[in-house]
Amino acid sequence: MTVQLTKVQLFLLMFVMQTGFVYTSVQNLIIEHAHRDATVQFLIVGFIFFLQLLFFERMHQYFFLNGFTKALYLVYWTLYITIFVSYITYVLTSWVFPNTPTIVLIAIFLSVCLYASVSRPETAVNIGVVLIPMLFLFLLFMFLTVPSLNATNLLPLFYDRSNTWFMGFVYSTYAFGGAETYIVLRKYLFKNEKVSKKIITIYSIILTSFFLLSISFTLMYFALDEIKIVPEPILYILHSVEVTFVKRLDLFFVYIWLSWSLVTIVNYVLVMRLVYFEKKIKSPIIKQLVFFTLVGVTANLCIRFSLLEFFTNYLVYGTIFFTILLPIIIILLNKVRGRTLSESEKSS
Amino acid sequence: MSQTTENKQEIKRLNKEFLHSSDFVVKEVMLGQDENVILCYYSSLVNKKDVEQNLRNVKRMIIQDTSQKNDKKNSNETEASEKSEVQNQIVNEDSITITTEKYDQQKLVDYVCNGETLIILLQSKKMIRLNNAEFAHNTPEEPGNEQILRGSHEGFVENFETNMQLIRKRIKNNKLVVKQITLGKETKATVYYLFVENVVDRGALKIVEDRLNAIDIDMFYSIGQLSDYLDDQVWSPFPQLLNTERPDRVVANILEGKIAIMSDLSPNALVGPVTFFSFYQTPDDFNARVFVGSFYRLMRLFSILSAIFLPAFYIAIVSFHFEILPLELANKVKSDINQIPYRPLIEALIMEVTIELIREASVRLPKSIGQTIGIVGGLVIGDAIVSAGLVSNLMVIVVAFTAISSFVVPSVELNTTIRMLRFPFMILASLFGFFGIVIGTFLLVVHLMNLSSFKRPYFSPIIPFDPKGIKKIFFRGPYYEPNRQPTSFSPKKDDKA
Repeated sequence: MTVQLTKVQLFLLMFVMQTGFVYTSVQNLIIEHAHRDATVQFLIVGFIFFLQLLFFERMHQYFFLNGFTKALYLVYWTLYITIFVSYITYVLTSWVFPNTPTIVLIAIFLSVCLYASVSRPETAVNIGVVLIPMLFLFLLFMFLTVPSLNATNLLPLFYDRSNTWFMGFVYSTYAFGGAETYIVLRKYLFKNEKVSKKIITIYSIILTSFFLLSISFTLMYFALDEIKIVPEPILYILHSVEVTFVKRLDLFFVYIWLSWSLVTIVNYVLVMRLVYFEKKIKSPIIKQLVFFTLVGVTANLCIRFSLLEFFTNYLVYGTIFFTILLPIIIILLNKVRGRTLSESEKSS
Repeated sequence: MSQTTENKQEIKRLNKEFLHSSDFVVKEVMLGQDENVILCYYSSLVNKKDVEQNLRNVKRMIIQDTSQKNDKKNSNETEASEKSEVQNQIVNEDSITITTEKYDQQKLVDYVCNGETLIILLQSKKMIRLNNAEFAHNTPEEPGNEQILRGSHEGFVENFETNMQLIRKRIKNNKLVVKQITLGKETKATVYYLFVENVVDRGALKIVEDRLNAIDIDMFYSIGQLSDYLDDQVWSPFPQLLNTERPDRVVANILEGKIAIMSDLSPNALVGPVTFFSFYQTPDDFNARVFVGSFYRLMRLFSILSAIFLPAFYIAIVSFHFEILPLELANKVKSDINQIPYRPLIEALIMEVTIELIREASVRLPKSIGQTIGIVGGLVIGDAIVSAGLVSNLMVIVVAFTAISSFVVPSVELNTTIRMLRFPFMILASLFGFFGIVIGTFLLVVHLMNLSSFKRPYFSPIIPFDPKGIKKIFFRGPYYEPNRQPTSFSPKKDDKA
């Protein structure tokens, strides 16, 4: 299976995959560990991510996966999707469907993801476009909370940072998880398309600002002690917004986020399909059906607060390894050996 | 080279020049005592009987002319007068003008495209023009289901020549090509497809030709059969070909590189490849002022949301998400629906089915009675059903607003599709509330993205994403800005066409 991507499609896929899974909860983790410096630490990690993308772009011809690394990435993405499915089901259960069996919810939304995934690859590539108006709507909802924000919460900037400066950085990397897909998808870009530094800069600014906005709003809305007990701060902020036309804005956001999540799952599965079905493999539909069933069953078993908390606390190390370290190791090894992507494709 | 061989070569060249269009007639005929000439015209623009009659007149005149010349020669008159005949009107009677002039290939193309019959005398390098064009004037009535406020009020009929006249009247160019094919082993119906050479989407044209040639059917009698054979996905509820009876709409589309398929059996033309948004455009958009056209286009696009989602949204709120309503409104809604014995889904189904029945009845009945049915259905049944306590007032408002929104769609095909789509959304909303609507919408969007029309993306310019094209969906730009409808597929540009 193969696709041809334009720059816009590549960055749209990236944006959806980097925001879809973590956008509602990442603020809580970063602020809990970085305290008032959350924005500063996040910006520093954002800058590192920008440098990482530049590095990926410069060295992308040295990145290719062998059987072992392919398997590693496929296991990691499967785990990532499974935990996310558990998490979103947990959120839906607590916010909207307290009485509906979780397996029913999982079966419904994984079925539609399966339908999108067995469709032609162009569908999965382009489906993120439909989110664009929803994201604007979400930003509009967010800005309705401005009168309730307390800007002084961002201060003071000077206090003892001995306990906050390491873990804040670590959890900020959550926001940039999925960056490895850039280098995986890079080879599918149209031959005549070039990714300039300017484009990478623009993308990094958009992504960083999008997260920064939510972190700043959370910091300005809640006191530091409150944040520890608020798992999805964005939903809580929207829940407390009072507008005349509707009583519960957060419900709208839950459903916007649900669509966003569905698209994210479809996009991750697309990346997995591109890696797994690189060489023609028989009965891809049955294999995807098995994959989604496995994810659904496992996710249903994981819907427990303690398990989800464990994954939320420790998955970040997987993210750091698979998003930053492993691609760099692969690139450096191949560079030392002098093997490029085109040579690898010829030899296979 | 003999006269006949020369004529045959010229006939071959002319056929090539007119791109072997089905309605282009070129043949060798006898004129005078032993002179073979070439006769050419568009059969769709002239009356065959007139051509034959005029040909006989010309023959008679030439014989007379020849005998007069012989008389003049006998009386030793000079040949100077012959040169003045290079561009000379011979006769003008019964609104038919017959003119002779020097043979010029480019002028010949223009004259034929203007509906004239041409006789080419290769030996003397002259051509005789018989100006007896018969463009259809206002006789074809405006189609009842595609009415517009401004612009042409003509519509197609069940006749090939008339329909081609209506199109050739708007495109006087030999690049407009018509091809013909016979379908139905028993019925032998004629189907023809037309396109503009040099702007046509070649890939789509090949698909149309392949699919038409592959049709193996005994009885062909309806354009609907053709649509089934030509659709990419026949099981989709969405129309993948634009069905229109308006020549101006067909012309606008084929000038953008699309292909129109018609038959003698129906006044409908099928146009493809099209996108979902092609069905939301009307000639009124382009004939009205820029702002007005854009405003009404926006309204129409907004109507998609209300036509599909409004009843489902209402059901979801009433059944699952009462808490999103502001307190004052929530109290009113609650007191209203508390009086109704049925679930919101049943209420909505009662109203929707009633509306569908009224619509179907008004379509089948004569126009005058149809209006009465509308009044009876809308006012009497609507009022009675609320008084009887079967349906709440709010539900009547929702269903009425939904019905109005669905009738805004300028295409009957898409209109019916959208009305039908409401039902699964209502069921999903009654089962899962907003969650059901989101799941349904996701399925709908994925389905639209999977669709294609002659293998071209149906949901363009959203998928594949084209930000400039999206702007054109919502707003129509002024004509002086070089633009093409976003529903086109970037056909090759050619200034000659």
